[in-house]
Amino acid sequence: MIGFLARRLAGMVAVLLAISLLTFLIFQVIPGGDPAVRMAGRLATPAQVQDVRRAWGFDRPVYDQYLTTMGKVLDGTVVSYSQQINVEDEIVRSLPPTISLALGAGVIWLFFGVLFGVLSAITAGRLLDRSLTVVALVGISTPAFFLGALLLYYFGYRLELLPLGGYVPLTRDPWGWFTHMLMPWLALSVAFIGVYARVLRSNVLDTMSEDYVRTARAKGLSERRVLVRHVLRNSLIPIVSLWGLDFAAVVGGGAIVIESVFDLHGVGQYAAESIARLDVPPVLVVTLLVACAVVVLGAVVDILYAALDPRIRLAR
Amino acid sequence: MSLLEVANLGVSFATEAGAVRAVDGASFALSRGEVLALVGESGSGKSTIGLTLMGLTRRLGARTSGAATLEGQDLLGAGERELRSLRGNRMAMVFQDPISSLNPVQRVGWQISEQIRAHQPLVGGAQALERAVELMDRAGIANARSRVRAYPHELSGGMRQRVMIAMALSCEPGLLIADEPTTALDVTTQAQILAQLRELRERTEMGILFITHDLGVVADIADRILVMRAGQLVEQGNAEEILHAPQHPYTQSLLAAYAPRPLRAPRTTGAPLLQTQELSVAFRAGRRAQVQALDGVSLTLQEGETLGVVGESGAGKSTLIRCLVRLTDPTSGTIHFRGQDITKARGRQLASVRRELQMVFQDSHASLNPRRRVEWILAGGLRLREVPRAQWRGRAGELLERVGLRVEHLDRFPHELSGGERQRVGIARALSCDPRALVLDEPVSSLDATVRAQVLDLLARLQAEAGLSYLLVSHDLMVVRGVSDRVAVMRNGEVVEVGATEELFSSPQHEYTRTLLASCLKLPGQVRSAV
Repeated sequence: MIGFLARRLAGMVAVLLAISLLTFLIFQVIPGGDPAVRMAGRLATPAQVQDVRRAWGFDRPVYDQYLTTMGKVLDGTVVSYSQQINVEDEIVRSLPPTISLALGAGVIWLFFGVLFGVLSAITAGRLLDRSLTVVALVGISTPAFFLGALLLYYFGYRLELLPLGGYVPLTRDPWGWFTHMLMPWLALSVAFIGVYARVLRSNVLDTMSEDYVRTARAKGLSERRVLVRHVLRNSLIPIVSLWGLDFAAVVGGGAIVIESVFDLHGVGQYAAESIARLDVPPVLVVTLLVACAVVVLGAVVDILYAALDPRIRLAR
Repeated sequence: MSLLEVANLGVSFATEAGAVRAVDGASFALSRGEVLALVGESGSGKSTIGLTLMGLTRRLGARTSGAATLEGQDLLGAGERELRSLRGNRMAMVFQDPISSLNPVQRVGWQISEQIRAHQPLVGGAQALERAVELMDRAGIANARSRVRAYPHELSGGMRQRVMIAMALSCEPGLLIADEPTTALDVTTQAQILAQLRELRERTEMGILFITHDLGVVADIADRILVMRAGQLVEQGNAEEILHAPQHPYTQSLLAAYAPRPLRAPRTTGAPLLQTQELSVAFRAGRRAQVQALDGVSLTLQEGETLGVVGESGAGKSTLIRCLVRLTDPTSGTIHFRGQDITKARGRQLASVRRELQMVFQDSHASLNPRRRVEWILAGGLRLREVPRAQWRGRAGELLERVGLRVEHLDRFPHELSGGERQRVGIARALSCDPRALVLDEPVSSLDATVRAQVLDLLARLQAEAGLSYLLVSHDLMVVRGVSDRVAVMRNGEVVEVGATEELFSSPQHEYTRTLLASCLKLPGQVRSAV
């Protein structure tokens, strides 16, 4: 197990290095033209472009440019020139709403996805299973912006039960935080719940026909114990990796639509606004952030996976 | 009163095509300390009886009729709760495949103690685990105290089956139902497990219902035998009587299929066709360890000859085959085919070697494309030989007739064929390339005994007709015996003995060959005519 951990973490570092290199190439080298002009933004004067060139090392060799870029990203000294704001300060400001969104929605979609998936599997073919299947498919195919708008209209505008968007920090006002996050959580979770329920349903059904489940019944275990300790213990393993990667995507700003609909000022919304302004530095940093979130959580998932399934530790 | 009494048991399953009667009016009794063998070929309903007694066919939608009682307690009418208190407690079951029958993500000790705690709620966790160690120890697992923490995949096949047995015995049941408990194991391991079961019966007075298709195993362990066919019991009686003087024609045909085939008359064979010299393959396993899968194997297959290669799992048979058809590269040594060195053949040369050296696989179900009809499967080889497309159907039909099938089988999918028919298609597919030699990888080991005999007959006939050479690989000495001119015995990647079939069987030189022979000669008829 320790050998596995060491290998997996070393692999993670290697992947992070590769990603930083690729991102650098994609942003600074491959497009051609003058990278300093792109970084400086649309309204920069020639003098400003010259400053950018010097600051980012675009007048020096490529490897030097790479080191300078990564140095700036890690230092937190990347500046959006058109906005005159430090990018990393802005990202640190936008992380709490994004993480709140990811955590809350992640818990909701995992809970209901597993609940509906298991219910669906154990009633397979019966009315409850069929209704849940329809509900899941409707959930998967409802666009998040439409669902978000519906929620805002009914619960926010017509019934005035919940606030019409915005973010309140948890530390300042826990109840306000909760009421502000509730609709975004639901709007984001619905599609995931549908997907997770479908995936788990088929996993559980596959596992139920395994020989070792028959053995478990032959041992005289109660049906609940067979289901929890033998069926679910095995069929939840793939769900763990699915959840880790989806969660990472949301943390990295993947929920752009939801963040914008509910005006949460999260990482995704920040990236979307920067793209609209053709403001390159924030996009570069957010891209690296997403990649890191996915890689780190991917490693965490793999380690969890190995803890859950002893066979994984052998295969390298 | 008998331990188990079954009267007029019927089991049927509802399918789209209507109800299928899997078991039809079976009546038998089993006493304490008795081993009752339930024998039949696949589809005879023997496993259904075992599963139904355990109440495990209920959720498959089985409808039962008749009566079954365990120590006077009704099994068929029992409620789920009542049945659960019997299962694993007063009756337990051991299944065929120990790797798929154990939960892969739980330690084996945990899996045993779980059963103890399910039936004896007063026993604590540590105490139950202690019992698991004891049970594993008694089931013949060395170092049980450390193995109790092993996961199933960390144990060998024989060890896993011992874990299953330890688990089944954990609550000291009166009835043990063993469903093909040795079928997935090597012959020497099989012998050990059977000895274990015999010892158990003597010690505990347990009744054992032993379900198997293998009459050799039956001869080794059974007191009485029930013969099943198509859901019905056709004959029952003492083991001695049934094995020596079967009354029912079906039992007679079953036994006849097990009788060893007459040895082949010595034949003159041609020049060397396929030759390996000092062939070795080493795989890396982990950082430093190496596995020597093949170790200096030198074998020659003559033109028109059948060379049998026998060995248990891990002997290197599969690696040898993979080298011959050039799927694995040898670490050292050479392979010659028709005088050409093909050790490093690539491209066109390899393609022509592969066409002339065809394979027939063990699992015909897995090796034929499930979504293609037989005609398409056979056309592949014809295309390679540049037969005009217009002739494909006719030629494919001829191929089927050569292997004893009919033209109408061309339009079937593999799943619409029986196991024997599928293996015939597998052979026809190999023939479609017009090969010089066939590498037969366990070609009959997934077939029932009667079908097995038919397929072996077919192979012999094809060889006589077309002058083919066969390299026949099997774990089963008896399969190899009747069709091979020479036999090579492999163990741990080495050929330990090779010789003419008759000599090898009458005076085996290597100790391992003698062990193998001893473990497969069990039926009275076999001993009489084999040696």
